[in-house]
Amino acid sequence: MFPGRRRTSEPAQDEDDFSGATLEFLDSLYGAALRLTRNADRAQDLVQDTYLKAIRARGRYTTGSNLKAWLYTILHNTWRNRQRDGARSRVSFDSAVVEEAAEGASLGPSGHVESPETLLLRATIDADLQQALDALPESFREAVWLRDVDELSYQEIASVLGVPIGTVMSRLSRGRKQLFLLLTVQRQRHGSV
Amino acid sequence: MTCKDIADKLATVAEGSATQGDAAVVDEHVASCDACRQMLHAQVTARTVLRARAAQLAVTAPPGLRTRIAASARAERSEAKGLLSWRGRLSAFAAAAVLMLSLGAALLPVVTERSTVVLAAQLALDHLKCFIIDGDASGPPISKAEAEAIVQRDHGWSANVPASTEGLELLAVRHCLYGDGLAAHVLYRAEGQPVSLFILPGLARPAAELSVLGHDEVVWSHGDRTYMLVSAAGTKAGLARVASYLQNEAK
Repeated sequence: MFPGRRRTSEPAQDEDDFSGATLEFLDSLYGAALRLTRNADRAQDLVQDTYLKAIRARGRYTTGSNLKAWLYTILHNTWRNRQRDGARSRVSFDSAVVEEAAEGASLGPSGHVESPETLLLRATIDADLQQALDALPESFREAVWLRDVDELSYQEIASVLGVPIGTVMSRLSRGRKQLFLLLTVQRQRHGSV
Repeated sequence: MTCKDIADKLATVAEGSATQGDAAVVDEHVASCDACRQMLHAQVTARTVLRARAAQLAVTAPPGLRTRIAASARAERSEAKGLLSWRGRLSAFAAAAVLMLSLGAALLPVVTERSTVVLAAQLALDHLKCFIIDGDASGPPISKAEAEAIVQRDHGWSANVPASTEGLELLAVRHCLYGDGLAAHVLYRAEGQPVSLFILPGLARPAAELSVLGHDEVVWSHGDRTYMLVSAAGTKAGLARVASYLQNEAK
């Protein structure tokens, strides 16, 4: 984080601090860009663009607020703008369709409830989890990842995704539900049930 | 409480971050509702699995990306703040250029859907590299026919390279390192100022005017080629005139 912790008030030093602080989140941003673009070259491109914009807009960053969330917001805005420009106009449509399908999905045999630990220990391998995440609609995946992995607040996620908090909660619930279903299906496919 | 009322509270209850009131309401509801109990279970499980395995899913950004961003940040900062002298700025850009060219050529593949801003930043650095570092434009002007022959020889495709005109000298054509050498870099001098025209085949981009890394750029397309004109910031009026001439001539 960038809480303005340096003692100096020299502008150039602050600028160095800022750049250094933003680079601490490079891996996270690159990961987010990979999830969104699903392509290593385009992910690098998106991250570079994000940093250029962040450096230019650094005056609008509020010292002490969550720098990672601020960078995520720029990255997602940049991505949304690119999609709006027509590069991937089908994505939102696809997401909507899958969202509806997910709503009707069943959670499995009624009454049969395993503990999360059982599932953890017995089933999920990293490749399966990655595959399940990849299969989630983008809007669900981002909400789940930002909350459960990056631990952003609901308000921060709402800013990043540009949607109301209620929508964040809804996407989070539905995303987790769908992730659970996908993991369950994989587990069954591996014959471990 | 209906299932619909409960649905909004499940996300926070699953995390253990719900208010006591919400947690109590949900507890009471799921005790008698299979569907909501399973939904809560699904949420707890998915979150638990994800948190437990997140470290294994983490990715590391390519080292070249970090270096390029740091170099761009330094160049952008120097220019924006005007802290350095003109020569100092050139050094900063030259350093960024060397980094970007040494790393970028290997790491960045052919121009495809790169954002115009990123492309513009890279071409600004190529512009500096050829003019400042390599001194590629130190010789006498060349003719249109010579320039076009170089493009044909080095790139294998033909281009209409605009000739010198009043106030504009055609100086050289270089293989541009960006995009694996696919862009032709035409060097001009417009009223004493270095100006670069990059011709990128196989891709049309929307017309744009932008400023990046202390350079003004004009972008236009003709057919399936993108043309990008680059010169140092502050020469916008002159650049517009040159752009207008080149747009007419380069078709």
